[in-house]
Amino acid sequence: MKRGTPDTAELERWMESWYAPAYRTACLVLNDTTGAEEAVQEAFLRMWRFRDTMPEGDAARPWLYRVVVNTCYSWARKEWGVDGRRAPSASLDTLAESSPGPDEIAVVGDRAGAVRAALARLPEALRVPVVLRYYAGLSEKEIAVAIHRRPGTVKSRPHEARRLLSADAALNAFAEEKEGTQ
Amino acid sequence: MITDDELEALLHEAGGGFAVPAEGPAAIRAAAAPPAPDAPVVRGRFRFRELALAGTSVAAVVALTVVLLTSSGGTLEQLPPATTAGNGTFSNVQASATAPAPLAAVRRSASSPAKSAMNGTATKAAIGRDIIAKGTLRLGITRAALRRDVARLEALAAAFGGYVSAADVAETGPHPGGAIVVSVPAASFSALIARAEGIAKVKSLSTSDTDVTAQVVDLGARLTALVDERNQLEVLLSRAGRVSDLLAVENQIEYVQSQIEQIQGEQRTIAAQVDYSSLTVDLVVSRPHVSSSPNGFGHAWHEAISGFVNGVKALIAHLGDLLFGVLSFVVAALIVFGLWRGVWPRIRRRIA
Repeated sequence: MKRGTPDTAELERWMESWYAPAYRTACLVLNDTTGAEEAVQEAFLRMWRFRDTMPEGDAARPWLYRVVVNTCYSWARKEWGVDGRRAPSASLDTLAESSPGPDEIAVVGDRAGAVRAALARLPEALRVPVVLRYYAGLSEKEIAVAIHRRPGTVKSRPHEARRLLSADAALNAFAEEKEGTQ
Repeated sequence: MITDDELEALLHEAGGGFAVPAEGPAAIRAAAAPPAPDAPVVRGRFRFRELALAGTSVAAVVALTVVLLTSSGGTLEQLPPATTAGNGTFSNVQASATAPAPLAAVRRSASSPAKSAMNGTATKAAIGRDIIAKGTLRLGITRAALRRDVARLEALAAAFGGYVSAADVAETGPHPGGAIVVSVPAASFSALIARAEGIAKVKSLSTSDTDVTAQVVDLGARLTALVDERNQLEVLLSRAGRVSDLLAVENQIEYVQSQIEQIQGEQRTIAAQVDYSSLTVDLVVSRPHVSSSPNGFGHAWHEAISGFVNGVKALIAHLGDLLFGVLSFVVAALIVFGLWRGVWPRIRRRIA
């Protein structure tokens, strides 16, 4: 992306490339489409405002996600009145117990819904890295940049999140089912 | 356990289920678009740019006035002793000023950092910033008075509720003298300098202020983040089922804890430096003067060189003041002119 004078076409190009993945990432992080839309809008406006300081090339992607994650935190703090980084964390047991059973999910027929629900039950410190890793496709180094943590800290989080999600029986069943269909 | 590929597939399916709002980009475009050039101007109120221009101009004029007053006050009181004495060296200025009003004279002749240090305590208290103040004072003493002066400095430190944090003094040998570092509460720093100046002839004084507010804030933020991280790790530790997980989390906690302690140590060090200002007092033992050119011609030549150098110094000092005055006048005139041409017509139209 180009630095320099304001150029509306440049903003258009950013949005064409990044709006959909950024919006869906925010949806998975917040589990709230209204919040995601507001957070992504604010993120793009911040990008636009500080476009002169935006890194170029491959470094732009983690930078974008960093802004999106920050705006998600801000939105969560503003709307839910809690520190976005300290969302109540679900324990392994409660996660397993509170998960909807396979039958119930089968009735609803909403595999995506089950995934979102399981994600929402994850502590935020794990949810954000897992979304960035498995949905946005960021490397550990890029996630570290995006969530402003050391790479060593980031390394264990997706694994821990995967472990917690694996305790969700319904999610396990879906994973196996999906694996079988592929 | 769900594999990486399975989780990736599930998340892509879940994320793909969110319909991207069609009006989202349009809302961003609208918010990012600059205001239309023919947008109606709100009447009856000043625009932000005008207010900013006026505010900046007023602030600049006030600052300039303060600087001019300060500069002229210092020059008028400082220069005559140096010139009338016919000797422009700094130590002699101090010598002539020591008896009646030592602190005032040294303050005016000291550099700007010294001035800021003198006011440092009040400034810190007023604006709530963390400032480390330090100073170095060179005192010319005699060998006989060395022990007495060291004792006086130690007594001063105790009197101000401080302490001697370092001392390196040699009473005998080819190079008697040394240095003493006196640390006192920041509020007493100016008073300490004033009292220390009275101990002996002041050869030079320099002070410095370092604003470490940003560093303090940064350390606080890092500490908060690390404590959060440790708390989260402790939650994870309580849930870890396998020994390998336990060990991994414990290692991470240990690492985070060491960082927390390191930052707390830095905070303590900075807090101590902010709370206690240190003055390094160099005690320079004056050697007995031995004339290298005992004959009259040599002495006259030495005097001539010294007089020439002093004359050049005085000329440079006067030219500097003059140049500063001219530049200040030009800047003030430009600001007044800009205000007159830029803001006054609008005010006049509004009044009309």
